[in-house]
Amino acid sequence: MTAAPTSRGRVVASGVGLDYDGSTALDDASIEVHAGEFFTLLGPSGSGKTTLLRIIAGLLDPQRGRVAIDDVDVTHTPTQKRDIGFVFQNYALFPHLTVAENVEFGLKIRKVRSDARAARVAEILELTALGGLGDRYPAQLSGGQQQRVALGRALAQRPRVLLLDEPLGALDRALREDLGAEIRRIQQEAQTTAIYVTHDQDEAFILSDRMGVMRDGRIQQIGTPEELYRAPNDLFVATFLGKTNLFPGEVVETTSAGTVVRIGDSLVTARPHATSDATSVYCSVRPEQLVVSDTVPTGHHKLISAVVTDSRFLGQRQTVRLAAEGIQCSADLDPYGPVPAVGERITLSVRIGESALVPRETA
Amino acid sequence: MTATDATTPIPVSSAPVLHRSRALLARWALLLPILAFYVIFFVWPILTVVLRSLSPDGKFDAAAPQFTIDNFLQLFGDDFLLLIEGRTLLLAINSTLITTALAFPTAYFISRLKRRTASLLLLLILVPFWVSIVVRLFAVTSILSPNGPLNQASIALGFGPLELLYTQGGVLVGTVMYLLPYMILVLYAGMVAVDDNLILAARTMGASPAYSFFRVYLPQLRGSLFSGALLIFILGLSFFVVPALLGGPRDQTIAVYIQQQIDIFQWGIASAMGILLLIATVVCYVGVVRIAGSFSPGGVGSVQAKGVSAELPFRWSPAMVVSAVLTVVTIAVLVIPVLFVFPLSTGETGTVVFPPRGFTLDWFVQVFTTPTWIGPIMQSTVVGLGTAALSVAIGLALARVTSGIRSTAWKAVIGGLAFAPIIAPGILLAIGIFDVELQLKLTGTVIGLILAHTVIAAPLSYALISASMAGADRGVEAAAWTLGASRTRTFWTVVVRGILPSVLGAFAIAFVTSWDEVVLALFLQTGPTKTLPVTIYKYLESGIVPTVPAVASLLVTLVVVIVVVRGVVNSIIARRRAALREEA
Amino acid sequence: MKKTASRLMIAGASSLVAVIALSSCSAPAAEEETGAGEISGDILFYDTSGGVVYEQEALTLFKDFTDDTGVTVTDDYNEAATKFFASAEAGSVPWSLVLFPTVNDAATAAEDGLLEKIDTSIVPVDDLVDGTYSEYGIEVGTFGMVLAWDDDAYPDEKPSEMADLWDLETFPGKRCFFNNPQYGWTLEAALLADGVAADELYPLDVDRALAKLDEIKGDITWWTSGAQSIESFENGSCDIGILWANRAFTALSENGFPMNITWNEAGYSNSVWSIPAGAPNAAAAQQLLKHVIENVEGQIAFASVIPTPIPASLKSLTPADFPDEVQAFLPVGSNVEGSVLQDSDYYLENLDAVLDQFNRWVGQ
Repeated sequence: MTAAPTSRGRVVASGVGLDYDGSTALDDASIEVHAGEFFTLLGPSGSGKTTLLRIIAGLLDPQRGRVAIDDVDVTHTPTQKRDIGFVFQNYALFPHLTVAENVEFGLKIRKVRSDARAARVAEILELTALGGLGDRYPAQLSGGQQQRVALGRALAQRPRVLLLDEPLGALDRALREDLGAEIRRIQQEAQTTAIYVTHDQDEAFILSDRMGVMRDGRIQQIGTPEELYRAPNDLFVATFLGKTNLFPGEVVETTSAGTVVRIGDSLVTARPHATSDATSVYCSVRPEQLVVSDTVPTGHHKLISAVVTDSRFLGQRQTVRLAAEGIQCSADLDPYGPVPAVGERITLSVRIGESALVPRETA
Repeated sequence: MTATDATTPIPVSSAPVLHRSRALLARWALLLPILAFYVIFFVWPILTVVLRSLSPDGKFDAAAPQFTIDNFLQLFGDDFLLLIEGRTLLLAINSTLITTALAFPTAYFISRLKRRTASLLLLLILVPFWVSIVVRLFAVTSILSPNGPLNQASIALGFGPLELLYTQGGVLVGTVMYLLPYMILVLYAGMVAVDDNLILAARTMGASPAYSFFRVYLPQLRGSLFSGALLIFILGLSFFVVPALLGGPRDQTIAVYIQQQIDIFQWGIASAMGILLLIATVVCYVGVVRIAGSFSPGGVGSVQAKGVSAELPFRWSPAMVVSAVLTVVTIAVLVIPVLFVFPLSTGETGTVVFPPRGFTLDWFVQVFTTPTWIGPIMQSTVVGLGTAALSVAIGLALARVTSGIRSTAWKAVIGGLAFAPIIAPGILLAIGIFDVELQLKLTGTVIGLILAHTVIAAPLSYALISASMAGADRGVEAAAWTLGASRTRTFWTVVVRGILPSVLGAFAIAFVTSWDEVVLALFLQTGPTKTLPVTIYKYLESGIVPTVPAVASLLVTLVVVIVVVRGVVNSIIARRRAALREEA
Repeated sequence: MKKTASRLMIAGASSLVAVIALSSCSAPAAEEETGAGEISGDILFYDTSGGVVYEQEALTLFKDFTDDTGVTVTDDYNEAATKFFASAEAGSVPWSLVLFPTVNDAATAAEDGLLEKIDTSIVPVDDLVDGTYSEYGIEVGTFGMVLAWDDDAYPDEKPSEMADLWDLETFPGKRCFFNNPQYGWTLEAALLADGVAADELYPLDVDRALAKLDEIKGDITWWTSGAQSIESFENGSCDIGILWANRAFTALSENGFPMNITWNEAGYSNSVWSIPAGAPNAAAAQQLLKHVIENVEGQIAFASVIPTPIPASLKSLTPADFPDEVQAFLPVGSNVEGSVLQDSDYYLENLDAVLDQFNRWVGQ
């Protein structure tokens, strides 16, 4: 096979909105997915991520906004003419067709010659590690195998964009991790753009080049997993991705090194706080960022004093629970380093310029 | 599944052998009376008909048995009988095709509507379904009659008089009207079970709506289509009442011919014809089970409307317009006869005419004050209640036995035998049971009719109860045992209470089956008081009196009230459940 | 002459039945002295005419009987005698009185030993015209099968003979026939129309009759019950045909339909009241027969509405004893001079074959 040109599959959704049964399912969302990129829409259930995916697929019609694939407006193009692949959460394999026939389905519609068709089916079965199962019916396969058939079927006709709607949701944990990696590998090999919907942040981190976090029908923030984790724009993104400790503070000034914020009687320099001009903020410090010590190490700012209330050994890390002037927080420490005892009064500090600030009002 | 298996206490009991043998004993104690019942009222009647069909003159002499296959040779050697057989087959095929052609778009159209609208349309199909066929046929004869509205309209529009009643066309219309609800309900259940995502998946792969309809949607309905078509074909093949009432002498079918031959004591040929119907039925049944994998009798479970999804919203397309038009035709065919009885019931004239002259409610008063109708109403009620009670008892016992059986093969055998009376041709059962009950001196007795009705009603009750018993958690039962409840007590307070809605449903379906039944009741009742549908049937044969449309109106009203109340109760329960779920 | 043959045949019925019948008859005979007061309970009546006929019986003859004796009569309508035969053969008979639609049905039943003898010590059979009763039953409700027409449809020339049914030009419109040849006079009418003399009708040339009927087969509307026959006229399904005279009278007198009839070439035949062998309350049934025969006033009241006298012919009654308007419809006296008595012996012998041939013809 010849590799599809990587310039195929740029998806732009601008101001897409949809109301359903009187409530807003999607509130004028905009994303731009680069060709060949693995893009994840991450959010809790009801956040509108599946709605956005289905609008891109043409399975739902937006009431506002436009969708373009490769700079062609497809807002009113029916699904079957969009040249996409779609993997459903329940796979939606055709129960009356064998694995090979399922994979062949889109090729037949495109009137691919039978020898080319057979070759492509074999190639897909190979790619999805389903060799030898071509004659089976979906009901005779395990969940993981069905998932790979769904993926292979969506990829067979070399779509410009592969859309995946929680494809691992129905599987158990161990299988999910394996198949997640598999999906990424297959997407890379097929050189197709992928838009992936999930509520599972681990999946999003493993798979994504970039991701968009959604909430209540809105896109909260778009970026690489690292950007979103290190520099969340708002309280929701900060708390939804991973665990964090929130210290309320007031912005004092913005310098070239970062934004200075007052927490209690300490001044802490955090990442530049640009997206909002709110002065009442939370300083978000991840448990692994929190330094627990008697004195403030160099290159760090003191946050607050605290008392150790609990300490647990969890294998990869030592989790310490702390009470700091009415704030419950936790820190992940190196289990091989010094660990404070329960009841010990210590100082919490964070590396200068590393903590993130998010506005306190969440709206 | 594994969890409930693990809690079934029999294998872990301290004295497993003793318990197992006691359970086995209990199982046989339940099974034996049912077995005896089926042998006497299902196997023996069919055997009697078989023996008659193989005996000269149709009279089997046990003392000096003589066998001949002359009757069967005549079935295929006699031009006139071949004509009747061909006509019957043609009627069954035509009505199956027309019914399917109407039922498919109707079921499809309804399945694509929003839940509220769909529920309403389903009601319009369920109400005629539950109204006795005799009542509906009474309306049809009035509509098709030479001075009925169709003919009046035709004459007024200048097309001249039409010949509708006592013609092949009339029989076909009546048969289709009878079969439509069965097919719609079977297809609708199949359609709402199809995963919308399959259609969406086909679209994402580039399939046009037509392509995905034929290559993806239709194959999912294969089982429903075959099961439904088989069901209505079998019903159409052996249906007696429609051709008997709507057909002329040249529209005789096998069932009508059988009745005619019984009237002139030609038991031999009548029995052979009955056996022919039975064989045809069994062949069709086996064929469909082979092709479709299974067979589910229609109209048993309750049908719930399912709203259309946001991804596949209702959209007008040329195909949808055609479906809508055919849906209107279907609903008209089903609903108009049911409504037509009302204007007929209020005319002042001593003969029933349309349009009615004058207005009076006297006929309704007469229904409740003359023994002509009070007797039949009482008779139908008593027979219906008796049938329902007996059917539920059999259904519970049989479901209990089959739910305890682990072997799927045995389950299939018992299930298949239990359902056999439903697909056995009604006219065959009628003559067979008539024969047997004559020998048992049960003909003409209320008990005799209750037993006969139970033969066809119990399978439906069993189907409902066994389905819900299979779905119930046996762990609950085991839990009750661990709390010290006896087995009997547990069965009634835990198991039966748990499936109470379906027990009530089983009672209702058995009652309605008996309440509406004509053919068995026609053959088996000799007393002066007949059941309601038979009384109406007699009047349809010998001439309508003005109280007939009044009774018909009352019966329709009763069904409407029951169906509407049930619908309202169901939706309240559903809403309450949804509210609870939301709170949680 | 035919009647004699029929009676001979009945007399020749199995001796066993005669013994049973005699033994069971002896008891009521002894009660004769004490009168009807001893009887009680109910008479379940296996009725094959039903409808208005029974309603009128209930208003006149049966009512009078109940008033005098306290014994009630309950109607059990069945469209044919089939169920009676099936039950009687199985030895389970709930009825005390049976109405056989034809004399030959009754003869068959007598022959098969299914009937009880009429107890002549109670029932005054001597009051009846000879040939209208037998050992096993009394003939009732003589019905005439007459040429009838809608008088408004043919304002000028009126039909006068069966051949007019085949004259589609002078008398256009659909023809109504009963789909049972025996009770419908169908084959006889065809043969008469084809020129067969009235006294040469039997044995019927069924092939010839059906060939004649083929000429108008497409113009025939078949009726299947008495009520339906006049409905067919009233709703315009036919304008001319063969009807039962009593139904024609009902159409005219009750529904005001302009029905006209002629007795010329009409057929007439009798039904039979019998008591089943081993019937419950047989004694009351014997008393009922006696009561009905003696209740001349009741007979006139009944026939004034339903012109099929019960019993068929009483020696003491002439047509002039009945109300004027009903006289033309009574199958008695001068009315039936141009009519033919249906040969029940012929049908007793040949009914199965005739029915089969006719059903095949009509069903094709």
